[in-house]
Amino acid sequence: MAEKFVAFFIAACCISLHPLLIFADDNDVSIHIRELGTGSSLSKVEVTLGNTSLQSDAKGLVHIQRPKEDEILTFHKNGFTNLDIPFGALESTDDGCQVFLEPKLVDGDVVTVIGEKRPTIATKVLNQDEIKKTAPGGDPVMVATLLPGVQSGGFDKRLIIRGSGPDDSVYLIDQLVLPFIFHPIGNTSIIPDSLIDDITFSSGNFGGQYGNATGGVLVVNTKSMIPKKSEYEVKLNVPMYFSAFAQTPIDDSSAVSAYIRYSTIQYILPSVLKSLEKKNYSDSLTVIPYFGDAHAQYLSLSDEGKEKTTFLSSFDGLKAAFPSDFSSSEDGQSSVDFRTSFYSLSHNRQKRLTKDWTYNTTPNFLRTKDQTQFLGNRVNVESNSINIPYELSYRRSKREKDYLGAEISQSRTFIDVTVPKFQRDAVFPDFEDGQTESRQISVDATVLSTWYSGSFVLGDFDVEPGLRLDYNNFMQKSSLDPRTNFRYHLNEDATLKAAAGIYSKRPEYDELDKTFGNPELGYEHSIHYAAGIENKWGTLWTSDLQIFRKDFYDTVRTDSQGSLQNSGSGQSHGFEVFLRRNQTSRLFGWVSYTYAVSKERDTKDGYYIPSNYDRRHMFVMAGDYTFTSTLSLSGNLNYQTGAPYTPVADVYYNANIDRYQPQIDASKRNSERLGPSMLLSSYLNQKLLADTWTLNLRYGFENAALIRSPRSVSYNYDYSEKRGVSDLPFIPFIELGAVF
Amino acid sequence: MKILFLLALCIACGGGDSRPEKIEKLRAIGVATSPIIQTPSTPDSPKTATITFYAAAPFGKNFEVRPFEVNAINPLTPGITIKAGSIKYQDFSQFRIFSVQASAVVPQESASLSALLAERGSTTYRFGIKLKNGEEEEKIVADLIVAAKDQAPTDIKTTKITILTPIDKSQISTETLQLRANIEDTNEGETYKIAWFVSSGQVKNRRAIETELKEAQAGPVTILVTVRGSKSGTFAYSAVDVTAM
Repeated sequence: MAEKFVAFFIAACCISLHPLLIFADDNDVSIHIRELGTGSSLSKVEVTLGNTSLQSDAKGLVHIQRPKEDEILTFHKNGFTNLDIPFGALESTDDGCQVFLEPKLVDGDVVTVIGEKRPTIATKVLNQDEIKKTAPGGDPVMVATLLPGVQSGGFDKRLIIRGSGPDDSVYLIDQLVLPFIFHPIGNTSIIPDSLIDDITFSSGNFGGQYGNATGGVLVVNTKSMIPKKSEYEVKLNVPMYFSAFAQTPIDDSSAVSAYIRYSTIQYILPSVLKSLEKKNYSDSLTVIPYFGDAHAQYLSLSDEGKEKTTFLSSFDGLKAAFPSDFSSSEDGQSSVDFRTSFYSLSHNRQKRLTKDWTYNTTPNFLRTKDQTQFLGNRVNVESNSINIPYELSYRRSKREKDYLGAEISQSRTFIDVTVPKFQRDAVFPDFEDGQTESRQISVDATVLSTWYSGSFVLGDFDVEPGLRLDYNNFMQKSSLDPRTNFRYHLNEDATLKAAAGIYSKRPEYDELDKTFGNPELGYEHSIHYAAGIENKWGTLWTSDLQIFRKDFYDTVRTDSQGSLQNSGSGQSHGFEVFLRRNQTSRLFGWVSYTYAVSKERDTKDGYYIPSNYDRRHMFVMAGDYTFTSTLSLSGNLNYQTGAPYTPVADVYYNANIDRYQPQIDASKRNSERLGPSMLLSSYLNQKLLADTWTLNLRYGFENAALIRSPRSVSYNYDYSEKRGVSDLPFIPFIELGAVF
Repeated sequence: MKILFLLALCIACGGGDSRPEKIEKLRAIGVATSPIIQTPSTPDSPKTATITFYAAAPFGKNFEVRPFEVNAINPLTPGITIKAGSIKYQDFSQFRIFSVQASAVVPQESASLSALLAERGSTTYRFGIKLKNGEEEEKIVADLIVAAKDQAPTDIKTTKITILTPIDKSQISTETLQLRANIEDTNEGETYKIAWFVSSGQVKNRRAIETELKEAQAGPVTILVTVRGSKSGTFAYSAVDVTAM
């Protein structure tokens, strides 16, 4: 009896010390079932051995009696390829055996649902898959350039939306307003795809929560999911950058992530230059560009809401020296030194106060620094700001909500400039040799904003009124912008919609300086009108047809005396057609066509000329086809008619600077037009699955020209020969990312 | 992509078929004024400035010379008079440099001029001439600098430039040739702008005082260098004839 008790006691101790010892019996075996490529444990996998059928537990473990070596085990789980394997072929581990199941593509027309967003009529929401697979150059934010109303391509990737200039739009990450979203040097966005949940893009008629913009709004929403396990990714984009990403759960409700990217182009460019430079003059040319960005985020979820603390940083720089006619030094070289950077620290909190009341706030600190030196001139701008946006929302019913928001922003901007002195009687500007003047400007500004937007349902009629009020104490001016969206549901599949609203943007602070600008300047404004119809064509297809018109007024222009005035105005109008094939497991994509006319004038009684952004026709086709769970093909086709440009009317040799200078006939501004262009980009997205990690490959080409036209016009030294500045060149690229 | 754009610009500066240093058609090279800096005329003693326009052109071209009115806002800008028979030629082996002299009466002291000079210390008046040969036309503009009496420098030197390498009448390689110039009689605090011109070949950096000539055609080659003072506007040139082998 005592012996039996001792034996039982020892067995109990062993069991409590190591659960696996329960299978110490040679007849039992434990199999760990994991996902190929990630190593994640798979639960509820059906394992069949002869007539016996078992399921793996939450830890991916299944325990069976040891079969014969040649007995076939069958593993089955929806979404994974079935696996039949002899027991003897299973991989042995210290704790038993393990097996990896390969994810497979599930056919069907199950449409990926895109989350509910605040409704405005000109808003497009793109989910993570659409962003990752179709983004030009592999950059998620670039996907906005493929949407209707947006001009794309060329060297400057900033968004030109429905005739609005690139500085007229705002970019946000969650509620944080970013100074810029594309690296000025690398021309990739500053936000990695690993951070992005979805992108919301409004080409106009956006809600009252967005201010200081007369063009459009691009909002990047960051992820709010707690990862199941730690995940690491290193990526090499040849030739642009190297990056590393890590995220790990702290517990079931919180996680941290971090990302860092640093350019590699500065190591590759010198050798490229050497091979490209004609006549072996590479030693005269020095170009050192660099850029990078980083973020760190703490995410916490609770039943009441979520909190994100985010640190974001970005920097760009370029040092260049090259032979130039602008040079006044004995070495004949001109130099450029450009550096820009920003960092921000923000805390986003979205919390449910009661069943119907929630709030969303993102207090943040933002510091930006820009330094530019060129030919002895310099412009340095530093800004520190604290911004506290706070928005309350109240749900009156399932489809009716009220949003009430306020924001206080306190900023200090320091501007240090040395620039050529403007002389009113100077017909020919002698930029490089003219007199310069220096000035230091410090601007302390407090901006108070408040807004309301809501949605009211009146039968089949939805009304979404909004109102925004901004007051800038430095300008001592305010703007009041009413905005309204209407929707009328014709039936379940068709909705008529219309919108109108006023949008305002303050001038830059250097434009408000008494020496270089005009302290009396007020807000620039635009009025957006749009109307259209949205249709669902079954579950797979949707369409959106919109006509739009934007009236710009009080835009800042230089008058004949060289001073800045709110004297400009303009107009753009046209229509957009957007046909979207909703995302299923195999296919998604869209086709869009935009017709737009954009014109402007410098004074109220002046004549209209085509604006710089007047492109009449734009056609985009973008999409992705998934062959297998590890291979898909993405691409886009982009056709645009040419932009206008101003011809040179006359040319003079200016002995003061020993250069030829053109003269422009003001009446012929933007009177000529460049030709159309059609560019094709295509990429293969491939996953190579190892047991516990995945190698993501993305390779293809960008800008294969089916129709190639110049992006702009340049001239030879005496303007006797006109040349086109070519479009972007054909760019093959490869991106390798290892996910652990 | 901006990198590529910058790259394209930089390469465009150094390459291309139409190169600014190559004298293959009529081309202005500079303007000299004498005196270099004026003080305002007085009713009793009107002052005259001499403005000399320089251009280079292949042999066999004759040009008409006319003044033309620059669209200046400055209402005080006086007209210029081209001196009859003032066109002079200096021939080199592969092109000729010719000069045209014009004169201008320096504006008189007035309340508005005095106010301008009190504010800025000096002011400029812009003049121009037009050289024409059939459809070929070259418009050349330059400034006359007028300074307040108490601010007009009295010791401005007329700068000179010489070509140290290659030596006149020497034989050079068609592959690579070192070009080196020397600026003499420099004025303190002044910066100088160099410009090289050649009858054939390509200059690596035509704004550098020391640079290289490549791919000169075998045979006679004329090399010209000019210098201009950025502040004073003083101008000079020098040229050599060499043989590329």
